[in-house]
Amino acid sequence: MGKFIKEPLFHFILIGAGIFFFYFLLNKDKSGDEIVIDNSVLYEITEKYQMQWNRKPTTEELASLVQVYIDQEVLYREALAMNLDHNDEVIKRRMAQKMEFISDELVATVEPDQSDLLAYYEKNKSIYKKPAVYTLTQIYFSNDLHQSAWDVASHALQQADPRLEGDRISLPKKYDKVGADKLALDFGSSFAAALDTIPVGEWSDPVRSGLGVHLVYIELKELEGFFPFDQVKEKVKNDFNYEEGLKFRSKLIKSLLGKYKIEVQIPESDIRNAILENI
Amino acid sequence: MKLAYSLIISGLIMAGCGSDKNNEQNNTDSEQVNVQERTEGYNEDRNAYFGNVHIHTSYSFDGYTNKCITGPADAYRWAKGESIPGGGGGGDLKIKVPLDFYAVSDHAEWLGVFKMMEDPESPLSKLEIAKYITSPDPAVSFKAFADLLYAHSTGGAIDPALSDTNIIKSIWKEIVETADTYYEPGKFTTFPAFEWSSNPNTRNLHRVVVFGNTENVPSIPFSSHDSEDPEALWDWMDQSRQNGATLLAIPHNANASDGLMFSLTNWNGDPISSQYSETRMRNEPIYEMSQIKGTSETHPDLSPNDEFANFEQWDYTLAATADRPTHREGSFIRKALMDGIQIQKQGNGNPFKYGVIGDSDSHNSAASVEEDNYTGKFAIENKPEHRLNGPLPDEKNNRQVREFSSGGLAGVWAEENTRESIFNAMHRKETFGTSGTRLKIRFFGGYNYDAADISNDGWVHTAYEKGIPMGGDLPAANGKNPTFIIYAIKESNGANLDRAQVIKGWVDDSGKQHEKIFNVALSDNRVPNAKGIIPPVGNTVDIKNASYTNDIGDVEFLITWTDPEFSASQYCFYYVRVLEIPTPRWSTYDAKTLGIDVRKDLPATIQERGWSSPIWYTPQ
Repeated sequence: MGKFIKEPLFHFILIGAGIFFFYFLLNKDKSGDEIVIDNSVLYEITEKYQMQWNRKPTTEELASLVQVYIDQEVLYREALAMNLDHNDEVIKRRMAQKMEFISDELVATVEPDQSDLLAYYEKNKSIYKKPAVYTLTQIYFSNDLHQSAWDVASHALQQADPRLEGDRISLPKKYDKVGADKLALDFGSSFAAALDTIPVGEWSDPVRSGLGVHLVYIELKELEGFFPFDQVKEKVKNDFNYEEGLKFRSKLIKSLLGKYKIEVQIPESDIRNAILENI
Repeated sequence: MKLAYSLIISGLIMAGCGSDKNNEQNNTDSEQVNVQERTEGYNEDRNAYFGNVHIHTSYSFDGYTNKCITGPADAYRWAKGESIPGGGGGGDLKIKVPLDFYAVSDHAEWLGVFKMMEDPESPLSKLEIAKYITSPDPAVSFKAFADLLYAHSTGGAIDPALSDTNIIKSIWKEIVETADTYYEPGKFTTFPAFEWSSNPNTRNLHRVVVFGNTENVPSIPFSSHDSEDPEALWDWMDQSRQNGATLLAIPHNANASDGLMFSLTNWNGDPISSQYSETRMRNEPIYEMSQIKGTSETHPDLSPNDEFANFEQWDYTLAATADRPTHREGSFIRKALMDGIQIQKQGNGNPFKYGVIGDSDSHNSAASVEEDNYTGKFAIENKPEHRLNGPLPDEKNNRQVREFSSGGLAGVWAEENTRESIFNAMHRKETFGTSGTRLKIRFFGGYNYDAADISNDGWVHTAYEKGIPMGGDLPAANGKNPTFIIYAIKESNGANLDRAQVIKGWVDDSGKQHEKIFNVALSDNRVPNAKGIIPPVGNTVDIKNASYTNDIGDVEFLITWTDPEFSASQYCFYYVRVLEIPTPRWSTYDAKTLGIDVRKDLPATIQERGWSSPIWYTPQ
C-alpha cells in the first residue's frame, strides 16, 4: 500500500474524481441563464483589486468592475453555448497546460527518501563532477607586442626566474585554489584543458590561451573528482525531482492514452508511417 | 492523507474555483536564509558577471504557441550548462560556457489568451486563423470568423481567464519558487521576474520587472491588462517597495516603439515633469540596449557621422503586418540620453538617466547569444533552414525572423555572485551590455587620474578611490577637465578587439544637442591618417567556412583619456563602446551548416561590441 500511495498516478485519479464531484455539487442547482452576483463574486473582485493596487476599490469602482464581470460572463456563456471553446487552439493548449501543472505539483509533493537520492547520485555521477583545482602562477606573453610570443616565452623559460619575465595583462599572475572552470573563463577552454597535462612543481613549456602565450608553474593540483553526496544533496534532490517530473508526465500521457483509440485516417505515405511510429 | 487532501484543494484552485477563500497562499513568508557571509570569489574591487534576465519559456503565451516545450526549471538548467529539449523539430539546446546569472521573465499576460492572439510575436497563431478563414469548408471558415469576432468583441474587456487570480497566483508562485530552487549563492544567481507587455497600437513599451530576492514579492504580477501606462506600472512598483519588495524594471526595444519609449511627453501628452523624471529613474535605472529584436543604441538617421551605427537594426513595430516605424527620435538610447540632459537643463529632472545592459528575449528558455550556437528566438526556428528561409509561409514574417540578432548579454561589476550583489550593481548602473560576447568593459571618471594610476596591478582599487565607476556622476569640476580610465578585454574564447571609443553627448549653451565619437584606443598600433581617417582593422573572416582568425586586433586596452573639449557649464554624458574585429554572423554559420551560399540580404560578418553605462556631468 505504501508504494501505491507514493505513486503520483493514483493521486491524479483521486484528484480528478474530487474535482468532478466538487463541480457536480457546485453546479447542481444553477440554471444556465442566471448570473449570480453574491458576496463571493464581490470578494473575488475586491481581492484581485487589492492584490494589484494595495487598497480596496471604492464603491463606484467595485460597481463598475461588477459590470465588467457581468458583461464578460454573458459573452463567455454565449460563447460556450455557441461551442466557441471547441477546437480553439488557445483553449486546448491552456487546458493541456493545466493538466501538466497538476501533474507537476503532484510529483513535487512526493518526497524522495535518502536511498532514492543516493541511487540517483550513483547512477548520474557524471553530473556531480568536480573540476580540478589549481594553485598556479602564469606569466603572459602578448601576441600584440611580439612577432612571436611563443619564441619570447621559450626564451624566458631559459632565464633564472621566469617570474620576472613576461608582459602585462589585467589578469592575476597568481591563482590560489581556483577551479579549472573559472580558469577557463579567464583564459579560454583550451588553456584550461592544457593545464591537465602540465607537471606539478616545475615551469611548463609555453602554453597557448585565448589571449596569447603563457608559462605556467603549478604549485598544487587537486585532481578532478566528484563532489561527495552530502555536499550536493540539494542539487541531487532537484535533479531527481526534475527527472521524476518528466517521467511522470510521459507515464501519465501513456496511461491516459489507453483510454483512447487513435485512428490514423491518412492514406499510406511517409507521414502516415512517421505518425504510426510515434504512437 | 493530508497530502491528497491538499492536492485536491490545489487541484481545485488550478481548475478555477473562484469562491475558495481559505486558501490564501502567501509566498512572502517562505523561508529566506539570510546569506550574509561572503561567498567564494568575493572581490571588493568587483568581478564581471554575465547573464540574462529577459528569458521566456512555454509559460509565456507566445512561447507556447510557437512550440516551446520547456519551462522555467529547464531554463535555469540550460543556463547552468545542461542540455534541454529545443522542440521545433531540431535538436537539444546547450550553451558552450554556462552563465553566472539568469532570470526567467515570462509575460505577465500569460493568460491573456485572446489579447495575445493579436500579438505580432505570435505570427503562427495568426496564420492558423488565416488558414481556417480561407478554408474551402464553409463550416470551418464560419467558425474561424466567429472566433475572430469573439476575440475582437472581448478585446476591450478583461479576458475571462485573466480574471481568475488563483491561476495567476499559483503559476507566479511556482515561478518564484523555481528561482529559489536553482539559486546557488557564489555560483549561480537567479531572480524572480516577469515582463509587463504594454503595446499600445503595436508600439512596444515592454519592461522586464526583476525582483532582487523572494522577500515580499507581490502575489500576482502587474500586467498590461491592468494598465498600459508605464506610470501605472511605476506606481505599482512603488507600492510593492513600500510593502517590502526589492524590484526594478528594465525597458527594451525602444526601436520598436515608434518613438514612444523615450517620448518627451507622458502618457497623457503632458510635458515631462521633475516628479515624472524622479519616479521613472527610481523604478528603472537600466535599459536593455541590445537583444534579439535588434540593437537600439542609435540609428544612421540620427547619427550620420557614426560609421558603426548601422548594427543589427530591427526596423519594425510589433505588428504582424511588419510595419516600419516612422519616428527615430524617442526610439534609441543615445538620443534619449541627450534628451534627458536637455530636460534636466530645463529644470525638469533627467527622465532618461539610464545605465545599459544587453539581453536575450528568447522565447525558448535558452538565451542562445553565441553566433556559432544560435538556435532562434522561438522553438519554431530550431533548425537552421527555418532560421534562414523562415519558419512561416509568409515572407514578411520570415524576413523579421531572419533579421533577428542572436541577442546580447548583461554584464555587471559585482563583489560576488549573489542576488544582493548583482542586483545592487544593476541598481547603481555599474553594468555594461554586449551584443552576445563576453568582452568586459570598465569605465571610471574623475579629475585626479593620471597615466601612473593604471601602471600597476592595483589600478582598479585606485580607480575606485580617486573617481567614480560607470553609472555615476562626476562631481564639480573646479577648473579641471575630467579624465577617464577605459579598460576592455576580449572574451577569452572569442575575437580580438578593434577599438575603444568614447561617445560624448552634450547640450551647448544655446540648447543645441551634440554628439561626438572619440577613438581612444586602436588595435595594431593604428593611427589616423593625415585626413584624420582611421584605417579599418581588416577582416579575416572566411565566409564559406564561417571562420576567422585573431591575427588582427588586440587582446586588451587599458588607457586614460582626458576630454579636451570639456566645458564646466555644459550638461554632458560619456559612454564607452568597444568593437571586436569582424566575425561571422549567425546566418553565416547556418549557411555553412546547410552547405549553401550566405543570403545576400543579410550581412555575412558583424563587428560584435560592448557598451558601458554612461558617466554624467551636471554643471553646479
